[in-house]
Amino acid sequence: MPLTSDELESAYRRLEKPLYNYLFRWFWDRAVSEDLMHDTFERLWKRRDRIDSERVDALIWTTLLNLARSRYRQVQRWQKVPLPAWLKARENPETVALSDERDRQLRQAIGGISAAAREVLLLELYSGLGRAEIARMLDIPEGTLASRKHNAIQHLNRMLKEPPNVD
Amino acid sequence: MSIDYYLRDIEPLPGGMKRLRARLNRQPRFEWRPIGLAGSAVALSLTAVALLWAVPAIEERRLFNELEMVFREAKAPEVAINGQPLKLVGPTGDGAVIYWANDNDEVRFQQ
Repeated sequence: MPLTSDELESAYRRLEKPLYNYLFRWFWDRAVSEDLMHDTFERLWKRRDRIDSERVDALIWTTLLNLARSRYRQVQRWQKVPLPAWLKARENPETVALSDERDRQLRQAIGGISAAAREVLLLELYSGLGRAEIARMLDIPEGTLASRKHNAIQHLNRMLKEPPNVD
Repeated sequence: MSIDYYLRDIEPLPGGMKRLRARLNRQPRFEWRPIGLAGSAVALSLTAVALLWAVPAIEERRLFNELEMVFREAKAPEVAINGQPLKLVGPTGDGAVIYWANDNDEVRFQQ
C-alpha cells in the first residue's frame, strides 16, 4: 500500500520529537535539525508509491540516519578547512540563547564520543526502537551495539562526573 | 543529577508540520527525473543536430569572409590562390557567386 498524506503527517506527529532530539544532539542547531527532518520526510514523500506504510517508522529512521551521517561528514570536512574567521559558520545566536549550561557540558562530553558510539547511544535514548531493530538498522551485531553503548555511557559519566544511571 | 538530566527531551520548533506541508506542496522549479532516459536522449540528439548544422554554417561564413577580403584587396574580379584561379561573378541580389575556374565547381554564399 503506498503511503498516504495522512499517514505521512501522522508519522511526523509521532516521530517529530524523537527525531528532532536525536538530530539536535548531533548538530546543536535547531534550524539544521528541522531541515534534516523535513528532508527525510520529503524524500519519503517522493517515493510514496513504493513505500510500505507498515514499515514507515523504520524507513524514516534509516533515511534520517543516512542524511545525518552525510551532513555530519560535511560539517567535519568544513571544520578542517582553514577559513578566515569572517567566513566561518557562526553559531546560530538563537541556539546559543536557548542552550544552557547543561547543553554546553553535554555537548562537550558527547563531542568526545566516536561517531559510531554516539549513533548507538542517541538512537537508544531517543528513537524508542528496540535493541534488535537498532542493530539491524546500523547493520551491526547486538553485542557490538551493547559494547558501543556501554563505552559511550562510561565516557559521558566520566565527563559529566556522574555515577552510571542510564541502563 | 543523572545523565537523564542532561539528555532531557527538547521541544521541536513550533509549526514544524505547517512548514513541512508548505515544503511538500511547493512545486519544484525543475524536475529532471520525469524527463528520464528518453528525454535525455532527445535533448542530446537535438544538441548534436544543432552542432552539425552550426559548425559547417560558421565555417562557410568564415570562408566567404576570407574570399571576399581577397577580392577586395586585389581589386579585381579574378585572383589566384596557391595557383588556383578564382573568378568573382557576383554579387547578385542575395549573395556573391564564386566559380572555381578550373572545374567549374560553383560555390554560392548567402550574405
